[in-house]
Amino acid sequence: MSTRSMTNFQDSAAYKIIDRHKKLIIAFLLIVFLFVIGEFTVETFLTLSQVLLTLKLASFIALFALCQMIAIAGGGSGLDLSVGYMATITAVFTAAIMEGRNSHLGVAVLAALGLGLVVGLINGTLTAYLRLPPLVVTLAMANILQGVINVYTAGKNITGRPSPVLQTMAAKSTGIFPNIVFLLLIITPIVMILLYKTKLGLKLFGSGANETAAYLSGVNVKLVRCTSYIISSTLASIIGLLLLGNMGIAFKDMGSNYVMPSIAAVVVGGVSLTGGDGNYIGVILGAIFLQTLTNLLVALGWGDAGKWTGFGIVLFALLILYLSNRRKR
Amino acid sequence: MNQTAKVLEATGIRKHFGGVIALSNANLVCRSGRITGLLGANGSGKSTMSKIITGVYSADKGEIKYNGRPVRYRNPNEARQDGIAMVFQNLSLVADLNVWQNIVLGEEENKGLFLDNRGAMEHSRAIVDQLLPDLDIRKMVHELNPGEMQIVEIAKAISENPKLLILDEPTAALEQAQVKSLFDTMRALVKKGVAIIFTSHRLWEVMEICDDIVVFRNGANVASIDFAKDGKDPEKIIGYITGETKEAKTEKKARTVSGETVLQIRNLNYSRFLKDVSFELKKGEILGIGGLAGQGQHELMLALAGNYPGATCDAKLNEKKIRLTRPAYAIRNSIHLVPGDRQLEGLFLSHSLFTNIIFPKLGLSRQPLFTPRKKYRKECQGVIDSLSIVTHNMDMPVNSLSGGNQQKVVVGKWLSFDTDVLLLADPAKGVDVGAKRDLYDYIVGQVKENKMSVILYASDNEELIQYCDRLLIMYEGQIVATLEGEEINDETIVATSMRVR
Repeated sequence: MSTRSMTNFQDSAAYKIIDRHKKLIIAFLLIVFLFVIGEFTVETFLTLSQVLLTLKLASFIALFALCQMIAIAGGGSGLDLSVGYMATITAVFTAAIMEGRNSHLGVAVLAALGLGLVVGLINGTLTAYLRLPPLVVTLAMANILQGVINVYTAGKNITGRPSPVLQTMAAKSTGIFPNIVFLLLIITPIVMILLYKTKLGLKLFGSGANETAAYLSGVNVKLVRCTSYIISSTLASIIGLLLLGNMGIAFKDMGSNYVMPSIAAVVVGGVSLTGGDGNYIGVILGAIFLQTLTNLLVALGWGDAGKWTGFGIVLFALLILYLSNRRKR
Repeated sequence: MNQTAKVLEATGIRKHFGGVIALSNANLVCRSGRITGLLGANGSGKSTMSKIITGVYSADKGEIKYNGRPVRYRNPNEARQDGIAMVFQNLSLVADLNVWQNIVLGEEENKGLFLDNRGAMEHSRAIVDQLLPDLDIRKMVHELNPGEMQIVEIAKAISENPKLLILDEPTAALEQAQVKSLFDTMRALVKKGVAIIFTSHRLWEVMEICDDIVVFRNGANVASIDFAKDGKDPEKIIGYITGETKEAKTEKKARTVSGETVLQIRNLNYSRFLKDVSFELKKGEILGIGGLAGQGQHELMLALAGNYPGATCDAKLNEKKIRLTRPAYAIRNSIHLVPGDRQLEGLFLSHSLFTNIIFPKLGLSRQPLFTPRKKYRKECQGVIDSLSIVTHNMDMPVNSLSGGNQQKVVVGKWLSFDTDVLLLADPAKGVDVGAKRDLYDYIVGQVKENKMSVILYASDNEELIQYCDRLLIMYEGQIVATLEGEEINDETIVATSMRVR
């Protein structure tokens, strides 16, 4: 009797929807769980302004995680550890270009795109065409970028400010809603369509899921992977502009703290680290989860050390959960 | 007749993997100072037998006596400690160690506190000198060519002074001169009283080196021949390998193949796998590729599909010169591959049927950025219907399907293309009977309507016999025979595969 009702349930439409979006549901429940803990242990944890602030900060993590997801989705142990440093270097240079004037925003955007293209092309060529391990290539690139930043900023204050338009987009709010959240709401459907409905996205996921099959089906896997690094770096560069807009000034470590969260958000969002699948909605939920976790740990007085330890533990736990799930199949 | 001591005696060995019976009732006797050859077609159980003796697999039934004492090894290490050494088909060397380090690996001896490297090098030198005097034993293994690697593998086995040496296809990667020095070494070992089991697909080698042979067919030994007593008759041996009597096969319907050439391949070369392969494919023809396993058939199919940028050939499709250095070129020229390993080469397992079936279109330049969803879903449903793929809907992940239906999806990828040449690599591997019939029915139907021509490689000779109009036999990367009409029968295939005729 019980087994039969179980199989009936497994055939039902509701079960199928739950099964397909299992990872999204896990990420969502994790967020709810954190808010419940927060509400009981910390006063005024669950207030509207607190939630909105969380969303604002999570938006930046979600944007960096988008770069990461694209680099990972193409497979071949893809990963981009240089995203945070890419954002920093763009912020530092474009701050000097803009110096607080809207009229120079166009030049700043062009500079950001150019920088992103060059760095992405180097990352992509070294990993896709010369087959060097992405982990090492992008880590080395991160170090090189940090080195350039250090030399540029050595012995002087970083000058320049973002243009007012950028500040409005990244730091200000419309009514009570932070503008950056609107930006993410606009970007998300575009990303979803590009990844899941176009030739580009399908080729990217196909190359990640089975390189040989994709190649034998006539897809230029190397080109696809190289392109994914170019997109990742260029996006990271643009995020550097937004980060600058949010902070109002550029400083040495403004982007590097986002590298680890960007990977963590991808994992929490249920993206396979071997490539070939991934849902950006899940990644956004992952970003919100991480930001909420940070808030909670800070509110509990655990500080920065607690935040990083917490991230690490969550990463381990989820990787074990997802991997054991795959093994069962 | 002077009978030396029985070193090994295996009786009534039975082994099955899942539902497949690899050995049903196999017997084998090896004597000290003699070389025993193991012969049989692909999948007749030769390798399984060797692996059971050395403890890689355990037998379901039967007894193995080693020097008169019943043994049952749990792994090759236990067998090795007892003096049974085996050289495996797939090499077991460590690429980043050098030759002598590999030879003494696992047998290192200490001299005081440190390893006795000098002694190990001298020991290795002495063995390698017999086999391949020119080889520098300080060379890293990854710098060696396949033949040299095989020699090192054999040297490693010999270095342990085995009483019984099992050589499974040791000559496949070797050149003539290397085979000769291997045979000299084998004879020297036998003089010292070692027993050797030797398997090879090259019948002449077996006849040259072996004292007696055992023939396997369908997991049982069907003949034991002592060359000194019974003489050497290759035709008789072939007869044992194929089985003399064959019941009449279902009548093959004669097809009319037009004289028009679709694909012409001249001097296809690729690395050491393909050497000067040339052939023509006629319109509406099913051209078979046969031969022993691993003679370059797999590489030929992939080369025709454009998988090897390093392959060179003059290819003409319908009198037009084409290049086959990228899969995209082959696809644009309507040459489409159904690869042999569908999970590794053909499918995105976690993706939907729909994605899998439309995927090859994405590589086409005329494919727009946005996929025309309605049109593609209609086409996809058409594919599912015409191949009768059993599934709930086209959004199910492919790994929810059975093996046969997965194979249909791989074929289905090309259905909405105008295929001129379909390359089928072992399409019935791991496919149930019903799905196999569906597949071949569909393909034969398409060929009959002169819609396409097919190049079919199958590891099972029955499929080749049943469907092919012409059959090319491959041996060491070359086409050694072309069979037509009545010549396409099991006996001729095996004989030409083993180069007896």
